[in-house]
Amino acid sequence: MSFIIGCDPELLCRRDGRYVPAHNYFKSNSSFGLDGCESIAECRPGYSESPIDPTAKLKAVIEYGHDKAPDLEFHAGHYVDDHPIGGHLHFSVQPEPDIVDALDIVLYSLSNCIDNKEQRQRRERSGYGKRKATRRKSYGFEYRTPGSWLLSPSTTLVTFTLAKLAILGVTEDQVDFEEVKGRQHSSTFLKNLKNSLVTIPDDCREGLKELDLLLTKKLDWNQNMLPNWGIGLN
Amino acid sequence: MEKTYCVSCNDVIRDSEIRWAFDDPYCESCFEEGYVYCSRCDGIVGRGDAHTDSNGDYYCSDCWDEQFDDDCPNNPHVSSADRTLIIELSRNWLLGKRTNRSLLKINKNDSMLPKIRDKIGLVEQPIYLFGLKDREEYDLSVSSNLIGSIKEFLLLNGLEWKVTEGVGCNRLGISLSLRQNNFSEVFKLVKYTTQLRIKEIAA
Repeated sequence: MSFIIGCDPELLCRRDGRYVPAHNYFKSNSSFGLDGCESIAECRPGYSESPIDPTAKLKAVIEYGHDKAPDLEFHAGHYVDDHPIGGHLHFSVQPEPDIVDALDIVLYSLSNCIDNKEQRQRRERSGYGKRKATRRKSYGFEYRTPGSWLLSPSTTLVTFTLAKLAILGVTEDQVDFEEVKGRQHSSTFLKNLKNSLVTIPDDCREGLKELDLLLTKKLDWNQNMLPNWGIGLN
Repeated sequence: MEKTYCVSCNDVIRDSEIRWAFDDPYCESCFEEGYVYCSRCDGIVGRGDAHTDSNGDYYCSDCWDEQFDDDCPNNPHVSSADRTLIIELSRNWLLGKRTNRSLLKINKNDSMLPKIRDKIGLVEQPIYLFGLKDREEYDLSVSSNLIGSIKEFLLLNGLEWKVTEGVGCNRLGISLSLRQNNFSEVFKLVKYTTQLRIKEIAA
């Protein structure tokens, strides 16, 4: 079974270390646009079957945002400068309960390992990031739980990869992720995940390799993400 | 009593059925055919002048310009060079290393330049490629720091392309006829220039 992955992750803009509203710099309905309240920027990179391609598309879109407003820093995470920021994922499949459960178990485990928990809690308390939150769309559905994973191409690629594998695990291999996870720590569960999957497409192998390394890192979410994407270095 | 005629089809319209657009009376079907409402400001817009978003909603030009950035990349194409770069960036970030290579910068509105960019792949010091209209005076516009290597390549390959010195740094403009008819030579020229740049930096 093949399906398309898309997304509209948000990012917060700072200038000289201070929050600035994104609508001062960008227009709302563009691939580097604004979220509903227009204070946060939102990327709409397009879509693809492969986890690598939307990551590359996001680089092109973020690069455009930087070219348009080179003085700005961009920040990812769950809750920055009193603003909740999300990393919604889009899938061209129907939100069947077992698919949503699989995404919840796999991606919330990733969040447990790499996200800033204080930020995540503040976002949840502001009314966003509820577990298993979905919205039906004409193409399939939007998964609304994750915070913005745009910190680096690697956090982005691993998120797409795990999302794809969670859905394929259900639709192709009938994996019961709740049973596989059991009482394992999130990190142990993710390290062993590949052993529970039969269907691992070639375009997911890079993300799985990087997952192993990512799980060993302690991430600093309070940083300008642009250098991590190789943008604005010169 | 004076009759009202549709300014488009000239049919008589009953008062209760007149649709007005910019002080002109229309019958229902001609109005629907000729005009739409802006989904943001609700103003009347000629159908031919209206902008449409991906949901099929209409916008007047003012609202469109305020809301949409037409220069933003829309579902950008991903080449194998883009994939190589994103994986290199990802791995290096995980390893705490800086990525020193990138793709050539190009004017993306040109159909030939992305092919050159993708075929050249990752380089340590990218130059900026842009398209030129055909002119009598020159075929290539080259920034001063690249002009030596460009002239060297032309001499070595017996090419009699006319070169002019352009502004800036690391910039190479290529005429339309060269882009269309001499792809192979143009590709070799860019590759030669990029490799020389790397050697210069290494030296």
